[in-house]
Amino acid sequence: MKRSEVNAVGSTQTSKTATPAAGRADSTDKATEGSLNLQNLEVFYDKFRAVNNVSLNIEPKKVTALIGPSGCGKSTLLRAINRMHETIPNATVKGTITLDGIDIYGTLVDPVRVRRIIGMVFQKPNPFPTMSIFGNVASGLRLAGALSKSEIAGIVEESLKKAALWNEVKDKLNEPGTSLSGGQQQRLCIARAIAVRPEVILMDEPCSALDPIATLKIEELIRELRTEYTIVIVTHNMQQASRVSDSTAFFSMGEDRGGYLVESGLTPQIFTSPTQQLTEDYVAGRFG
Amino acid sequence: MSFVRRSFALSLSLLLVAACRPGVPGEATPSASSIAGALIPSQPMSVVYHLPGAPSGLHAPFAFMTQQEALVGADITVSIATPTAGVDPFAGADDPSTVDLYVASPAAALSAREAGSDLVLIAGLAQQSDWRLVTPVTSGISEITDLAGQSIFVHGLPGDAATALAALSAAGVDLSSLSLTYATDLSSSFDPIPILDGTYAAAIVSSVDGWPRLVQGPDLVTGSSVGVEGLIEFSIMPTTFDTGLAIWAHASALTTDDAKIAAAASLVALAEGLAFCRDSIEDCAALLLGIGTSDQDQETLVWSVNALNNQLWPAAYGLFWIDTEGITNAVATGVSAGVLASPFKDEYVDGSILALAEPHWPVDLDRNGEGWTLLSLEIPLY
Repeated sequence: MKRSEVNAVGSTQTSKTATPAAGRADSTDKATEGSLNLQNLEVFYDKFRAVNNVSLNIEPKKVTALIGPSGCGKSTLLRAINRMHETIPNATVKGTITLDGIDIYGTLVDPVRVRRIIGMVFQKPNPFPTMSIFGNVASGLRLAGALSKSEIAGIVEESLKKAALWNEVKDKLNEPGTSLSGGQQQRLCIARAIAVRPEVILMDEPCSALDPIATLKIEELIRELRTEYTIVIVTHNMQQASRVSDSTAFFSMGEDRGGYLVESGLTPQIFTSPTQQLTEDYVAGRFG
Repeated sequence: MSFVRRSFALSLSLLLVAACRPGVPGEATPSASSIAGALIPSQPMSVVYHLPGAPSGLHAPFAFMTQQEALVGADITVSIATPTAGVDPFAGADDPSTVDLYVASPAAALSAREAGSDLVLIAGLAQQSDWRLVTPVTSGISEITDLAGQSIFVHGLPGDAATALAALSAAGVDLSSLSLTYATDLSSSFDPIPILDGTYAAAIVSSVDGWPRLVQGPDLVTGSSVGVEGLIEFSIMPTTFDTGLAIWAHASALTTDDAKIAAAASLVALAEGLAFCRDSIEDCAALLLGIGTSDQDQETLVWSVNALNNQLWPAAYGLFWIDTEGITNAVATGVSAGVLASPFKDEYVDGSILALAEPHWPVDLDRNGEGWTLLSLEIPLY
């Protein structure tokens, strides 16, 4: 996120006139665009601390897997990264999360803009049921006057191609998004996230509702997308984490039931020679 | 956004071909609901329920009604229609074998009466006003008074905006400064995009259908649903005078015994539908989904049915109770606020249909729902 974008981020009025491409980093920034840093992050539901003092660097243009047993705060952490957590009543965040050096919880920062730059793909495919395949991908591009119809069509095609779905849907773009199979719907949701040109894509167990073949396609897609986007994926599937991610962060649950970061590192290291016994036990399937 | 338009009435008519087959004497053991079979007209009759809005949670109990045994063998065909573009929403069939019943707010029905209609209230339905006044957070509007001089879209019938208008008036907004646009075709789904993209500054929508569609609508920056936090709702409750949806008929259509019997029999069946959707919320939503007429998913329909139930239950005085005094007082408030032209009168109520139905409620039907509680559900987002 460029600093020049902060002003736009700080004003919803300005954001209405900004095109998705506005404020993009120049070529020299491209390689590091999408760099996330979490410092002493704590996430609360009312008084309950669901995530406890997490500090983590998330490398740009890489896939980072968040793994750990159920209830250790992985999804809560993910939602905090694009400020979706704060939509829950009495949910709060302490500590800092920066994207390219900018505090995304800064007072001038508009959460809606944050959610454009940091997109989210959910566990269950959730295309807009009343919209066509085209409409689903174009849903974030529809500010009146911001883009021409041909520009929107171009972005839709590009996004569907990046999501490896174009060839399967190019002849039926006007059919409902919900007419697609589960795996196709998930790729459609990825295309929708890509269309608004995010820097980061968060994925919360994106394959858990899919069959093995559809899962394989999503995993292939994740590997392709990492050349352009920073990807953070929550997964319960150890094999999936080892297949798709460059780095892995292992979380566990403390005695106070709050989640904490046990260790993080390059995925091969976490899976073959972790520094913590707890990590070794988890990746070996001895608990979880 | 391309919205699906389907012929709900046609689908239900097809269903009814199966459901309303002629009865075979001695074929079935009478069930509780077949008590309503005593309500048998002398000739085949049709009852058409006119419902506002595209098939949503509101439609589910009516869809159930059309399949009830109470109507089997009584030669009563029940179907559902929604107001379409360019057609008077209170226009009925000029046919003595058809009774048209309208599910509408008192304000909407009174607006029609002011235009010359002879609508009478035959049964109460919802106990609360169904309307919400909403603007997106991106509109720059933060106070209700900011709506002065703005355009507002109303996804309802003329009169349905009255509650919100009264609230605006009470807040000091000059109503003549507003530009109100009513939906031209209530049979199609409410499209939230003209609200979210700023074509209109705000919308007046129903709680059961328009509200969830707005919440689920796309944020035009992120492409995901705007969610509840993406909208600002202005409270209209302090000035609410609309007592909620009720069931209306043209007085001229209720002049024969057959018409009254058919209408009463349909109320008995509807009571079962409403109780079913109260007690089996998931199955109720699945029923509507199974018919294939709704463009909403199961989770949304469940949310919508739950929201509808919140307007109906518990019914301290029994389902369909007509609160004449409450409506009279409420409408008087509307008149004094300048959003309705004339007061409600006792002669606008025809209690004969409800009286006819009264002895025929199924013995096991709970028409009060005292134990009902609202489920804590979130509108599913996309």
